[in-house]
Amino acid sequence: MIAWAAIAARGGDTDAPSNVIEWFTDLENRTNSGAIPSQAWLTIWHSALALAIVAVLALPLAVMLAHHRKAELAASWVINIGRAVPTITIVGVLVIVSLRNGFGLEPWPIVIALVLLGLPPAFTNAYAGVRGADPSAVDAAKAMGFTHAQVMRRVELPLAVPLIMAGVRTAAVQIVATEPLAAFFGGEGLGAYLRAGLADRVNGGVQVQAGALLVAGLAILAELSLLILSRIVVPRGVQVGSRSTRHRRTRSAPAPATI
Amino acid sequence: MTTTRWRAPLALALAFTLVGAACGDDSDTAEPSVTTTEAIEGSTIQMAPQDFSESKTLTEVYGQYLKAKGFDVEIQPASGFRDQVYPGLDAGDIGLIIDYTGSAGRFVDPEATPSPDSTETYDALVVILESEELAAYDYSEAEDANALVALKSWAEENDVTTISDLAGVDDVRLGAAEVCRTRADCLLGYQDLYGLDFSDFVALEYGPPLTEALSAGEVQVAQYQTTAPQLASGLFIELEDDLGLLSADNVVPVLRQDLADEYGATLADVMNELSALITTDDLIAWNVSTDIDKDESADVATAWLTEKGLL
Repeated sequence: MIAWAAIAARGGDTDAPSNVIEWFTDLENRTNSGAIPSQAWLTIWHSALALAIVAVLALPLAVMLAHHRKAELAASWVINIGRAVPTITIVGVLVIVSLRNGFGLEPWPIVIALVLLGLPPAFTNAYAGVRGADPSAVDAAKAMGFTHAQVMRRVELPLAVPLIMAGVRTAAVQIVATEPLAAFFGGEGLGAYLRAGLADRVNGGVQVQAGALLVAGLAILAELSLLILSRIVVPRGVQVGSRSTRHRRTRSAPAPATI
Repeated sequence: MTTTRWRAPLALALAFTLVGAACGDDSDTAEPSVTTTEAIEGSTIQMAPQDFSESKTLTEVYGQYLKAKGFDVEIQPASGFRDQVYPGLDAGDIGLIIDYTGSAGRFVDPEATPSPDSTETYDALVVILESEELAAYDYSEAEDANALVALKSWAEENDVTTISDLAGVDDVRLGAAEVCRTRADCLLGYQDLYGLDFSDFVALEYGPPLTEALSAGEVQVAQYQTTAPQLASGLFIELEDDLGLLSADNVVPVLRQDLADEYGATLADVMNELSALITTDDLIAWNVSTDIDKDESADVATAWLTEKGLL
């Protein structure tokens, strides 16, 4: 005689956590969807990989195009595909393509989708930053005989760094917040808690809340770490609130927006 | 007025026209013409499918047929599986669904014992539903049971024909919808009844992502359905349920008791009439159209009803 009651009882949790705090402290109920550290690590490295690819693809291209004032329209068209097509669609399509070509379920579908998502903010900000670099500084450099590469490296880039970092931060937050999609297409990561919570009609609400909190927390962490990095990377003379920017005269072109 | 003054308003008008055309209602093409049938008095019958192609097609078939007979029917978009649909039934947001006898019974009463016999399973379902103030109409001979499927080539390689045979194979990954993880007739049953220890449970969307993952070898077995087109074509095989975990699953309309009482025999006769006409081969054919040919469920339903002279 099959002990259905016993098997069924395993599925319905009568002592499931009833609020988010309990969910975090009650370790037993988390074995269903994996331990937080391992899921978080998966989300972190997917996001980090995507952000690194975004930086490598978008930043040099944006800086070059902005300096030489070429192909702005075509470049922003292509980059903005990431904004136009919903990321969930991209992941869904890429998963099928990846499976059919032997690349498996992870990590390429989600990483590629996240790269497409992160390109627009990173590119646009970098472009605006270089394009808006103080024209008098650029002119002075050219007058002093700087080559194109020297102008870019020693004048435009340092002046544009605040905006570039702002773009990278925006991209990072969007990437981390969207990475949970991977869990809905055969992957794992922090999205697993959202997925499991949404599927559980009785006790799922708490897990969804907890999953959402974890993702939001990680996104904030990403923003904060990049803010600290910005502090280090942005040249002192360009930072907001530094003595040279505070006393800048407004007679010439306005100071570039430093965020 | 200078020449440039009219450009902006013209552009705006053009934009509005384009948006209006794009937002036009395309579902009109699937509407059957119901000019001669008298409308039947009564509350709107809200139908809702589960989130997989066969459920959507079945809901469309019954829904369009009821509309042609004069009932006021509204088909809601798919929102999930039984976990989302049954609360809707309880609350009254959904009135009528097309479900499967065994799985529905086991969902409402997790301790119900499965039976491979269709009549037994149906009778048990009716009793279970009574306590939830739900009713069921006659079941159809068309059946779509849950099945543990595997790639035929993999099964032959590893000498696996029944579910029990899986115990002797290393590294078997199970692919299924997330809800399977906590179901007695799914993962829990495989673990407790069959004593299987899967090396991984991969939660995938029920449909193309799941079947593609199985075809690609990302999972070795998948919790799917007996009417899958890949079973008919021989790509997958169904592993035999030697310990009787999975039950008979005939197509059956389930509805709120108050809706059944309101319409009485008027609705019951129409539904039973249609249920008697649907066969398992129809289910398989519909799935081939929606899953392989990528046709819309509504269109597949209309085509089938028209072919049978029911529309």
